[in-house]
Amino acid sequence: MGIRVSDRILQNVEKPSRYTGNEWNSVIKDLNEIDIRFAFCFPDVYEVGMSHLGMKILYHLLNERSDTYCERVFAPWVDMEAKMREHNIPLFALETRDPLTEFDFVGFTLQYEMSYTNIINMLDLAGIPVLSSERTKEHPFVCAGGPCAYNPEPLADFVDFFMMGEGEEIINEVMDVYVQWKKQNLPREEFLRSISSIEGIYIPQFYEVKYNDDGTISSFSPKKDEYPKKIRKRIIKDLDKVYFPEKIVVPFTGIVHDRIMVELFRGCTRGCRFCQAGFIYRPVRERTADRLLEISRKLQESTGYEEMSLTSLSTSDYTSLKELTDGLISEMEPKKVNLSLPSLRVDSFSLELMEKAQKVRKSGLTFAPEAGTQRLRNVINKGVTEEDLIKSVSTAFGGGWNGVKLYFMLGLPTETLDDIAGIAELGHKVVEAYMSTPKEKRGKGLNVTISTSSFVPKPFTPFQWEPQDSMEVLREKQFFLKGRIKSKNIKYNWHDPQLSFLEAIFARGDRKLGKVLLKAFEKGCKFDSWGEHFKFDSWMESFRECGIDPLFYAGRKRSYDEILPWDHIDIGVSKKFLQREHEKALKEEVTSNCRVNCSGCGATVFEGGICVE
Amino acid sequence: MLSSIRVKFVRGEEVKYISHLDLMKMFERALRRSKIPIAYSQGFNPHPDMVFGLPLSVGVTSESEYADFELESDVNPSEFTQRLNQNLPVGIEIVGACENKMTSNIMASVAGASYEVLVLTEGKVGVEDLKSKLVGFLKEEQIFIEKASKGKLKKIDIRPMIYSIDVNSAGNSEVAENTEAAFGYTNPWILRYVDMLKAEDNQFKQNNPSAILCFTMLLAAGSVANLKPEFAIMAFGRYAGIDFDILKIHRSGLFIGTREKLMNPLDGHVLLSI
Ligand code: SF4
Repeated sequence: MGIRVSDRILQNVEKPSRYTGNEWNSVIKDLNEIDIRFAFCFPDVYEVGMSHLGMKILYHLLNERSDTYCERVFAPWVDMEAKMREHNIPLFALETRDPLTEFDFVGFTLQYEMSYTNIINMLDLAGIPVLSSERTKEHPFVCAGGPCAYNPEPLADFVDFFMMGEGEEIINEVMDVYVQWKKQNLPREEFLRSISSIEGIYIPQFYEVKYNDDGTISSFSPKKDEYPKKIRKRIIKDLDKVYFPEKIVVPFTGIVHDRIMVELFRGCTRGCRFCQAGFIYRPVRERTADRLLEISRKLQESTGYEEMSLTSLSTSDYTSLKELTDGLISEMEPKKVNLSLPSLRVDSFSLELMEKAQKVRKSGLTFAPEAGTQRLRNVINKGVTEEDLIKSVSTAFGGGWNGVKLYFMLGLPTETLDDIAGIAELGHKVVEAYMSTPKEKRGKGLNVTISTSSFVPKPFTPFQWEPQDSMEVLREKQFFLKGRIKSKNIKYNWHDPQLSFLEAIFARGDRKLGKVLLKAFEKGCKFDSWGEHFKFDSWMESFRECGIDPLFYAGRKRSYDEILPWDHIDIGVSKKFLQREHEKALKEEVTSNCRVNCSGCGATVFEGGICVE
Repeated sequence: MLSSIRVKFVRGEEVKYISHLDLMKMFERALRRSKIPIAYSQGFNPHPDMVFGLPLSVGVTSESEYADFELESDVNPSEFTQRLNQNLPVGIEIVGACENKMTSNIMASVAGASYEVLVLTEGKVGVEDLKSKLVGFLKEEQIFIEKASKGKLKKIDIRPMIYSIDVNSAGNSEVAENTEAAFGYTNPWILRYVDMLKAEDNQFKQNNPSAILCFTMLLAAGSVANLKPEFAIMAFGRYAGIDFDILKIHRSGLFIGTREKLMNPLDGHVLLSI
C-alpha cells in the first residue's frame, strides 16, 4: 500500500499539491494486472518536470502497454525533503505513492547537467544504493536518457544503463526483454547483458577506461567482445507514425509550461556551432500539418486546456507553418483556446501571426543574435545579420511594439573586446531604430533588454575542443560591456559565471567526476540550478577533496586526436565533420543549412528526414 | 438563449490542497472537456461565466460547495451534472444541480457556513466540561480577536458572527467512555478521517494520550461578514485556557439568506432559523 504522507506534513510545506497527484488524465492501474513498474523521475520540482514534453510522451507511451505501469516522480522541494527524512518517508511515486524500491525501473531524464546532484539525492531518499555497483537483485534498475545522456560518463557510477537518443522505440524494446528476464529468474547482470545488444543501450560497467598520466583518456574499450564498441543513438524516422499521446496529465497547480505542447519537428537545419541540440538531434524530421492538427484536436478535447503552443528548435523553419497556424487558429478560436507562439524569426508574416493568434501586450519580442559582430556571428555560424535584425525590429516597432529582448553569449571562441563592444552598439542601433519610427506608430516607452549568458562548450559541437573562458575573464567581459552601454533605454542582465563553469565541467566530464558528484551530494549540494540553493564553495571543496582539477575539464583546450569521454557515443554526425566545422569557424567561414546544401555531416546513416528528402 | 445552472459539489481529501484559483481553472478545463456551452465574458481575455460561493482554504474539504454557471443554451440540470461529472477529477463531484432562478449570484447571497473542526488537545479534557465552557463563551457579549489587515492589527468583535458551536469527542476512548454517545452526531467525513488517522497508526498512537475532539459550528459567511472557523477555535481556546491544535477543517454546509433565515442555495427552502 502506498505511503500516506500525513496532513501534518503537507500542511506545513510549500505547495502541497506537488505531492498529492490525482490530476486529470493521470493513469491508475491495477497492480495485479501488470508485470513491470516503471518510475519515471524528473530530477527537479513538480512544476518544472511536469512542463517537460518528453516525460509526457514516455509516461503515456509506457502506460499504453498492458504489462507496464509507469508513474511519475519529482524531486521533493527542500522543505518536503527535510520532513520526509525526519519522518523516514522514502521517495515515492505520485500515482500509487509506493516507495521507489518497489519498482522494476527507476528512470531519470537528463535535461541539464546541474540536475545531477538531484539524481543522487533522489536515489538516496528512495533508499536505493546510489552506486550502480552496490545494487543487487532486489533493487530496481536505474536508467537514464535525455540530452545530457549523450555524454553519460559523469553519471557512469550511478546509472545501470543509458538509452541514447529518442526513446519511443528503445524503451519498449527494453521492457520486452525485461518481461522475459523476470520470468526466468536470472541474475541481474544477465538482464544488462541481454539488452546490451539493443541499439542505443549503453551500460557503463561493461566498459573499461584507462587514463594517461596527464589525466586524458588512453583507451576506452568494452570488457567483452560481445558489447558494442560504439553506441549509436536512436531516432524515430517517421514522426507522423510514431506514438504521440492523445491525453496528457493536466495539473491542478500552475506549472512552468501549463499548456498543450505540440512538437512540430525534431532537429534543426541551421547548424549554429555552439548549439548541442543542433547536432545531437540531426537529421531534421517534420510532422505533417495534418498530423499536427489531429494531435492538437485530440489533446484539446482530452485536456480542456485553454492554451496551446508549438514547440521545436526553430519554429520559423517549419515548412508548413502557415498552413498549420491558419488551421489551428480557425479551429481553436471558437473553443476559446489561445495559440501561444514561441519566439519566431520576426518578419511581416510572424508579426501578423502574433497579432492574430495572441492577445499579447506588444512588449516583449526576443532576438538571439548571440554575438555582437558579423565576424563572430560567422564564427558561430549564426545566420543573422545586423541588417536582418534592424529590419525586424523596425517592422516590429512600426507595428506598435516597444519592447525587445536581445540575447548574447560572452566567451565565444575567438571573441575580442571589439565583439563585446559590438553587443552594445547593436543595442544602440535598436534604440535608434525605435527613435526613427514615427511616434504615432510605435508603442510608448521603449524597453531594450540585453542579456548575456556565458558560453559553455558542449560535446558533439564543433567547439567541443575549446576551453571555456575563466570566471574572472567572463566577469571582466560583463563589466566591460556594462560600461559600453550608454543608452538609458537599455537594461543589461547578466549572470554570475559560476554556474556556467560547473556546467562546462560536467558537460564534458569523464568518469572521474562521479566521485566529485558524490562528494558534492554529501555536502548537501542539490537544486544547483536554483540560485538560492547553489553552493559554489561546497562544489569547489568537493573538487579539492577528490584531488580533481576543475580547470582540466572547463578551461583546457583539447587536441583533435585526444580521446574524448563521449567518443564511444555515435550521434551520426561524425567527429570529422565537427572538426571541419571547427576549422571553418576559426577561418570565420559559414556553413549553409541542410535545406540549402547538405554539408555531409554524417547523419545520413539514419536514412531519414531531410537527408533523404 | 442564456440559461443558468446552480450546482452543489463536494471537494474531497484527494484534492483538498488545491487553491481556489486552481479549482476555478480546473472547472474551466472540465467544462471545455465536457463541451458544455458555457458563456464567456466579452473582451480581451474571455473567461467562462461562473461564480463560486465561498472560497475554500487550502487543506479544507467540503461536502457543500456551490457554483453558478451561465450557459449559452439550455442544458438540463441532470444532463449538466452527468456531463460535468464525467470530466471532473477524483475528489470533485457534482451532487446536486438546479436551474438557477435566483436574482443574485451565489457569491453575493452566501450568509452562513457550517464547519466540522477536528482538534487535538493535550491531556484529558472532558467533553462535558468543554460543553459547559462553550455555554459561558457564547454568553459573552463581545469576543475580540486581532486580525492583521493592511499591515495593521485590527480588533474585531466576532461574537455576532458565531451562530452556534458545539463540541464532541471524536473517537478517543480514554476521554469518551461511551463512544456511542460521543459519536451521536459526527459527520461521516470526519469519521472517515479519524479512521484514516487511526490507520496511520504511528501518529495516532502518539496522539492517544491526548484527546481528539470535533467542534461543530455555524458561522457567518459571505461578503458582509465572514468568520473563518480557525478564528472561532482560537478565541474559544483563549477563553477556556486550552491549546487546540487543529487537525482538520471540513465545511459541512453553506447557506444563503440571512442569519434569521438560512436557506438551501439550491432550492431556496429555509433550512435553519436562529
Ligand atoms: S547529412 Fe546533410 S542534410 Fe543530413 S543532417 Fe547532415 S548536413 Fe543536414
